[in-house]
Amino acid sequence: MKHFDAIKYNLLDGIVKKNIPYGTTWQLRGDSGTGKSTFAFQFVMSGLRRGESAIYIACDAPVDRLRNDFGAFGFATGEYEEAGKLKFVESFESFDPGAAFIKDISDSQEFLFILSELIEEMEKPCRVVIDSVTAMAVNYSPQNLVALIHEKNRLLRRKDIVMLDLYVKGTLEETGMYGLANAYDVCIDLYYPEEKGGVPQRNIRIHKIRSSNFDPRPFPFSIRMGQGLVVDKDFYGR
Amino acid sequence: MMRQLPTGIEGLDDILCGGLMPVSATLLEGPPGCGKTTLGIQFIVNGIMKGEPGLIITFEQFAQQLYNDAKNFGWNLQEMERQKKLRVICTSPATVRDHLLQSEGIVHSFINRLGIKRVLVDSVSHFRRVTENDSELRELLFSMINAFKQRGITVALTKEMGMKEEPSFEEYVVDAIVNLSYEHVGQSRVRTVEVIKTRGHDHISGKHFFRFESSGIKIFPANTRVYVEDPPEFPALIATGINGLDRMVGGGIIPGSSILLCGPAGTGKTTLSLQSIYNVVTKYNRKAVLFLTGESKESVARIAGGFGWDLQDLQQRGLFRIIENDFTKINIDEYLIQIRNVLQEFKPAIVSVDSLPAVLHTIRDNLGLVTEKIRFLNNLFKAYRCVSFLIVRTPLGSNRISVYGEEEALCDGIMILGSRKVGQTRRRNIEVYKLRNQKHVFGECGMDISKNGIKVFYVGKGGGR
Repeated sequence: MKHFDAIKYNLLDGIVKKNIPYGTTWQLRGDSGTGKSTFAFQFVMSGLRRGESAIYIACDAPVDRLRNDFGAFGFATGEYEEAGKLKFVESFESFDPGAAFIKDISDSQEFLFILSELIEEMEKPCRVVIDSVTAMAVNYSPQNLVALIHEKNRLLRRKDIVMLDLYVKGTLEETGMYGLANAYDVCIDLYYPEEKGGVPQRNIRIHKIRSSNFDPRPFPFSIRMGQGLVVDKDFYGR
Repeated sequence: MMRQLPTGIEGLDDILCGGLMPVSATLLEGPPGCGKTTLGIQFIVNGIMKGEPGLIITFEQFAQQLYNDAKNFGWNLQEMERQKKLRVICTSPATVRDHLLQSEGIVHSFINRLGIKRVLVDSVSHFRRVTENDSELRELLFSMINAFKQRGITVALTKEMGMKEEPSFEEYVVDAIVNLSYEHVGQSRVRTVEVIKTRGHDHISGKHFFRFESSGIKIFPANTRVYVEDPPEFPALIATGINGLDRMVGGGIIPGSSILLCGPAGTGKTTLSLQSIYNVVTKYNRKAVLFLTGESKESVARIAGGFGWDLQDLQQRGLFRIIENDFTKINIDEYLIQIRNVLQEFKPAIVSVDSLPAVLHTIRDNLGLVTEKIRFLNNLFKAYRCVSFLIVRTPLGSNRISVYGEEEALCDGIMILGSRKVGQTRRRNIEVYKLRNQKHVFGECGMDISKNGIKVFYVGKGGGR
């Protein structure tokens, strides 16, 4: 077995019964402010720290701001970028020399092409994050967007990469009929449960992991500087 | 079977399928000033170079005039006479008749002394000065030719002939007829040569262009079959190095395929061909040629330079050539032979013709000729196994993919470049419309021209979606 057969991601340890392999596609849904990007930063960093590489497609914010956001959690990206281990991708024509860019995010062919070229040239294993699919949705009919996601996951899937797509909850709910969840091997939700008084507590809940056992119950988590998401895995043990 | 005797005249031996029969009579006919005498002298001079002494019998001009005319082509006839390889006789038809019919005559003594193998009689039209009677004329000509043949001599005879003259007895007496003529193509007059008959061997029929060069007459036989003894060895597919495009066609293009690269102005035709050439040379270390007719060398260098492709460097490395011609002055057959010679000598893996309509400009009014020449061009590329891009600009907004309609059927592949407005933006696209013997993606695919060149947005594994 190659060393990258399993994705190491401590965040999910204990909730997922066995490690999820590379070659999978992940969907992360959540309300705004629930910590999707932070989840993604952590996901990328845990790979980089193990010597793996990552591609981060920034559809919501300019790359400069993302670097700052990473930094705010104590994740310095500079060295990884210089070493060619981390590649940020702008979703519009960029003057940032370090970032690749997709000129026209509404052009699905260009999007797939740029992504495939980058995946080709990065060292493997590689983690690929789209932050977020929701921002892309502005340019597509729901039907076309779902088609694009399916095509992306079909064409770009390979044994040595993992793709994580971020969705703002509510954006594509009506597209359930197209079976969007079917395009993914792993589906995770971040959300605030109904308030029962006191300080609202964020929750993480796994919906689906293809061919693996997992704990389907919601787990509360907090976001801490320098760490990111910290899940209370013992919530049900107390 | 008797071996033919090469005339040594460039191109003529090709259309004579090897040359003339030894000990035969050939009529060189045509209107005044078309080059009969020059062709005849060249036939004699080439014989002398091969060690076959020659005799020129002229009724037309003084020897000095002939010497001067020959000097223009670098033939020093007087020197050849001094070396006893040539004899020029200025005489009258009656004298020749009288001397030839006597076995001890002066002509015979020259033949004996010099060991003459080739004779030029310039021209037989003058025999009409001896007699007006056709049967006598025929008898006279016949006996003269026979007299030479009995001595093992190959003879060429010139004959003045109007453009639309009916054949007369001379045509029946000789073994081969070479007709020289000229015609107007566009604004210019071009010379043509046509072999009308050859006894005992094959020839390639039809008219072929020829030109006077500093070394004599040069014929451009572009109707011949293309046969290459040592075609270059290339891999099964030649990749353009444009990844998306290569994936669309399953990895690359089969060597020898001619691709019609068409689209409106500004869609990237020249860029795509330059990028492919640059990639083939730099990535795969193979040779490339750019035949420029519509575009200038400088403008192409500028286009390439904008993408960081240093064409001059490729030229200096001996892997790339630019052949530039003014399209208004192209003589199509001469141009095709020029292409053939470049392919033969340089053996490129990829060539681009920028543009095809410019190459065909001077014959654009003759669809039959256009079709023939495109076919020959394609045969050339096939024979030398190089991938060729034939660039055709089509009008914006039309559904046309070629200018004449014939190119589409004759070429092995068609790639269409275009663009489409989507909202406020314009998106470029490429379509592989046809590609013989290759599985390819059918339908449009997005592309972009970035600072690094063309990107084709195809991510499939190729060979059909």
